[in-house]
Amino acid sequence: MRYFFNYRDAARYFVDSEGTELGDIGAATDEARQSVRELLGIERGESDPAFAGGTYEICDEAGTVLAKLAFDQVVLPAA
Amino acid sequence: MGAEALDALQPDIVSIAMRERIDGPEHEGIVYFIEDGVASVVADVDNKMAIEMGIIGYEGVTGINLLYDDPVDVFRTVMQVEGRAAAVKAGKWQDLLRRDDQTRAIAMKFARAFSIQVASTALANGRAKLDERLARWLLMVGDRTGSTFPITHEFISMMLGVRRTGVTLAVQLLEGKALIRASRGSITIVNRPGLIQMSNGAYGFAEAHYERLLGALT
Repeated sequence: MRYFFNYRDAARYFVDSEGTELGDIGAATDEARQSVRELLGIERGESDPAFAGGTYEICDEAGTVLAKLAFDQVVLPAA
Repeated sequence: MGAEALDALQPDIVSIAMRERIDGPEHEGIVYFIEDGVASVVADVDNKMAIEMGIIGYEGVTGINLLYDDPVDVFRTVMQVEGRAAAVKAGKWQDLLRRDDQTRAIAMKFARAFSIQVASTALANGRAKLDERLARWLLMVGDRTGSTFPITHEFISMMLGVRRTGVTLAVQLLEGKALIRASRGSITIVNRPGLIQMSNGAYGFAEAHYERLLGALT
């Protein structure tokens, strides 16, 4: 199924209009987590004020929020 | 390289479409002096891992291995922004490199500049955040094409070796800061100095050496 990764923080809301085809919500959450690592810099493993309060809202095509992932939850890369 | 020396190689002027692969069996033995558009040199391992090492525009030629007198090309070159190139038989190009000191001297300066760009890419890939890397990459493409160029998020994600998800957000972040304007399938740089600042040093190092070795790009 196609998952959409919308970004929200206190000041901004960005809609992902493209979406990515993924197996299930677990895979979509993993996708979001990896994406956060890339956005924060894979080696840094620290939170970034540019994304303060930032959250990925993982949605289906209809825009229903299926899961949320706060950027601050993703700090250190997995071993 | 001078226009006369290139003419002596009897090039064919060819159009190259986006995503067209310009090395490999179907193009064996041909190098491309890019006239416009951008070619991307990609390192990959058995199609499992791939990432862009560097890009070549009108300042350069594909088949960098030949500049080191190595007939084996170990990297994939793909057209990233469509354009035209002067296609030359590799054998003729190698002959010229071997016999003409002046051409070889210029070619080696290009090879040196490209190697500095590759080092700068490695640094950005390992140490910079995605929005900084994206800013660097857009500036580098813009230097070679002008401020508006066709590109998709998916293609950027392949080149930067990251997920499409993050590219879409990073594009919107840069757009939100009025540094670029994005529409379906193309990007326009609207605030170049701001984008350079955004790159946080990822852009500028290699470019200064390009200018020193080859003259200004833009």
